[in-house]
Amino acid sequence: MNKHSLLQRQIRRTFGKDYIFEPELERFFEQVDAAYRQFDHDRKLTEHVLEVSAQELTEVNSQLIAQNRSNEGLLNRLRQTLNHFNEEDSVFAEPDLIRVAEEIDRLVAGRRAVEMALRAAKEAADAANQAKSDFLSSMSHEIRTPLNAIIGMAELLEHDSTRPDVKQCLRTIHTSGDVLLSLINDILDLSKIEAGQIEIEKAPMALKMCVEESVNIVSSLASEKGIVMKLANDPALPEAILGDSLRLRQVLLNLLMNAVKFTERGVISLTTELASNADGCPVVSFAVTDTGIGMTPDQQKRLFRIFSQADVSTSRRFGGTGLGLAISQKLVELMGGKITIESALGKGSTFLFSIPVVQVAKPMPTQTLGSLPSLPNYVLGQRCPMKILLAEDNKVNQQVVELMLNRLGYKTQIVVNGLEAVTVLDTESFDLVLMDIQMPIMSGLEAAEKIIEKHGAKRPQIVALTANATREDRKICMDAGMDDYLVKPLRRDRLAAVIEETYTRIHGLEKMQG
Amino acid sequence: MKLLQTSLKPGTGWNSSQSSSEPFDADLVLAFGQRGPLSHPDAFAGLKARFPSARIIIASTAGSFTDTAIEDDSIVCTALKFERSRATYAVEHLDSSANLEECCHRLGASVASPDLRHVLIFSDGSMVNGTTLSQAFNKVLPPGVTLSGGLAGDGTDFIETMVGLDAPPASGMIVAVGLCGASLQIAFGSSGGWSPFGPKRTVTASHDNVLQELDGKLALDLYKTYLGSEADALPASALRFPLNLTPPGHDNPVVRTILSIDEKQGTMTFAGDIPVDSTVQLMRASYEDLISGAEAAATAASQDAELVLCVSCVGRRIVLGQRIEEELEGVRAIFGAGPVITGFYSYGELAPSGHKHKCQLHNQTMTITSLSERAV
Repeated sequence: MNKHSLLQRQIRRTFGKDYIFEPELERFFEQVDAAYRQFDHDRKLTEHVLEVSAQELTEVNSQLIAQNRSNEGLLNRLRQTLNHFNEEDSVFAEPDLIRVAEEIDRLVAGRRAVEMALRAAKEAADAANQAKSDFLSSMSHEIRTPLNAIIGMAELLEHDSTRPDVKQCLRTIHTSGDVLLSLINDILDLSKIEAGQIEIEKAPMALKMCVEESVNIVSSLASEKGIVMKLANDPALPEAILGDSLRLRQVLLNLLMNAVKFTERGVISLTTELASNADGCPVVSFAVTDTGIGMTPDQQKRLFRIFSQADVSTSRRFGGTGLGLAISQKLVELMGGKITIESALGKGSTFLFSIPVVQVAKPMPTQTLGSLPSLPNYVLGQRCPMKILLAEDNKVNQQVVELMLNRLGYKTQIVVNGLEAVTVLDTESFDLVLMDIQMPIMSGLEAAEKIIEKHGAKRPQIVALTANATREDRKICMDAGMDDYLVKPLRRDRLAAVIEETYTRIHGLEKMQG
Repeated sequence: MKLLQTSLKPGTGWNSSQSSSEPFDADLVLAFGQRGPLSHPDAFAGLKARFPSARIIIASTAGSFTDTAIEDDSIVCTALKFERSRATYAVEHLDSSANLEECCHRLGASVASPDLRHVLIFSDGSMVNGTTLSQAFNKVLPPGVTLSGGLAGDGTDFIETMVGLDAPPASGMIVAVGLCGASLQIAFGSSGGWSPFGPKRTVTASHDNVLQELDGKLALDLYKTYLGSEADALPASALRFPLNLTPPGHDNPVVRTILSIDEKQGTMTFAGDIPVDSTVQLMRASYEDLISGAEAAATAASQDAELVLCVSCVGRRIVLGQRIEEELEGVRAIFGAGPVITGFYSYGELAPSGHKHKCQLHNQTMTITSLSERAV
């Protein structure tokens, strides 16, 4: 192998070109040669390493510069954002991360204080709202009792009177009472909805019948105004579904009544259709269309707000509280739907909503609701003779019920609380007890339980009288073992119907026992 | 302490210039040699014939020290006869690295003695994780008992390392020698001379002492880039660039040297643990740095010694090349002409570090243990 070029040159310069060395010297030169080569090798490696290292460091350096630039940009962006937050146009010019953090801290603390104040204000408002609801609820209850008397008495007098002018006056009193009562019921409903106390029942209900009844109730009003009322029920509509017949009827009645109210001539139609929603689940859609005054888009927007009507002049022209639609919308939402409007000013309106339905196979036992033909005075008492006990603490209500029963042909014995009712029944037997629920000393519920416990199969029929029309009240009465349920204000026809049913029930039972 | 240093070239005979080849009445013989001469069929018989009554400790090396010279073809033997102290001995075979801790505990128990002062370890250098070994001994040795030694080497081949006690050496063996007696004077020094350079990196994938990724890239690729044309000489060439490693949560860096590479897996095995999230930096050294390092170790271990055991890293030999003896000349200059110097180039140095005297694995250092049993 050739010697290292530098060593070769050094040997040539010193010893000449063709000098022959002793073997020992040759071995020495080999060592020197290896040292030269190691030195070169090490130098090259060191240079290479330093070059690679420098490249890497340059790369890291440029990454750091880029990072730093991007940080600066970010910082500036942050600063801008913070200055947006700052109401007081703060001097926040230097992009410094610590200052930005401090600024964020300061802003967050400020926001938190505002948030706490807002929360406190909201809690106060909620409490005030609850107090308002409670107040409305109890006031409504207090108003209903005298109202019951007014309506009941007016109805009785109207029935008795032979003079057309007096009849007309009494008719007006009666109707005004009804309007006032429905307003109070609306207020009660709304306060319950706001308090989240309304629950939508999921019980088997006759859907078609519910729809038909709603149309029937409104159709007499419509025909009075000369409006045609149409019902187009989808033939595929299920007979029975799981739902809340009371609340569905309330919504349909509200929409139909509104249609009648705002339509001068033409047609009002209720169309139903069985369809599927986006998930493929069955829904029933309802559309109430009128040929009335219609609404502008702005009016439509305000429509579902509480105490809001399409126009301030509306209430002057058409009356109403502006609560009905708000309640209907909330009820439909609770049923899983939403009321929408298609309308144009002067072109009439369509109110649409769809609710998911669960079809049930068994048709419901037919519920009779709606008015029976009015009976002449005193006839029922002869047809269905019964001994009736009335338990009612309120003097006015006592008078109303006694008068009604009187006209139907019954003599009534009156007690003023549950305990008296129980005591009287120890010595005297009755066929029917009309039992008020809220009474001093012993409530109607407690009394009913005691009577059932004492008299067993020989007990009288017990029908509850209550001012509260909710399903919960009804359930409480039925759970206490009562046989039926009458809502105040008492209607003569309804009272007659219940008495007749009770009579049938007693004699049917007797037959079966016999 | 009576000492005799000589060397055996198996198949040729004992070096006659150092002493006569008569049997020598020694308690203990340290026999260091490259795998080649140690594997010679006559090697162990030759040692046994020369030192019939001695316990013979054999370790393979990457170069063995006889005074200030480095021997590659012969087995360097340093024979001791104690005058005021004695030694205990134990050997364990490591079936797999899984039971390393257990082996160390058994060795510790075997060499235990009420007057135990120090333990010398000569361990397999290819299967053993030096970090685990030193931690295991730290647990089992009584307080005040120190430990030093080294992992056996295999030239720059990294194929097989061999250790033996009173038997031909084999791979997977660990030998422990317990030095006992109140008159023993023991001192230590360990120093490197390497300097970190280039960017700092983070360990992103590793398992025990197997490193896979630095900053999400294969560590092996990084080494190849740095080695350039030297990459063909891996893993030995990687010894030029040990890692300066700071484990997560620690302040003091340690040096880690490479043991082997796995081209298929793209991994590198080091002589000690490389925990994930450690910060690492490549290191390099000049001749002068390494020689100054050796002198610093000698200064720390300096005393009126009789025997100086030097364990230096094979990486230093690769860098120093022809100038390798300058390390030992530096050590000799510090200790003076008195003591016998022996030792070897190893795959990992063990020595107590700092004042705590807990054993640590050192990489790329010159690690010196000096002994004397003369009354002070």
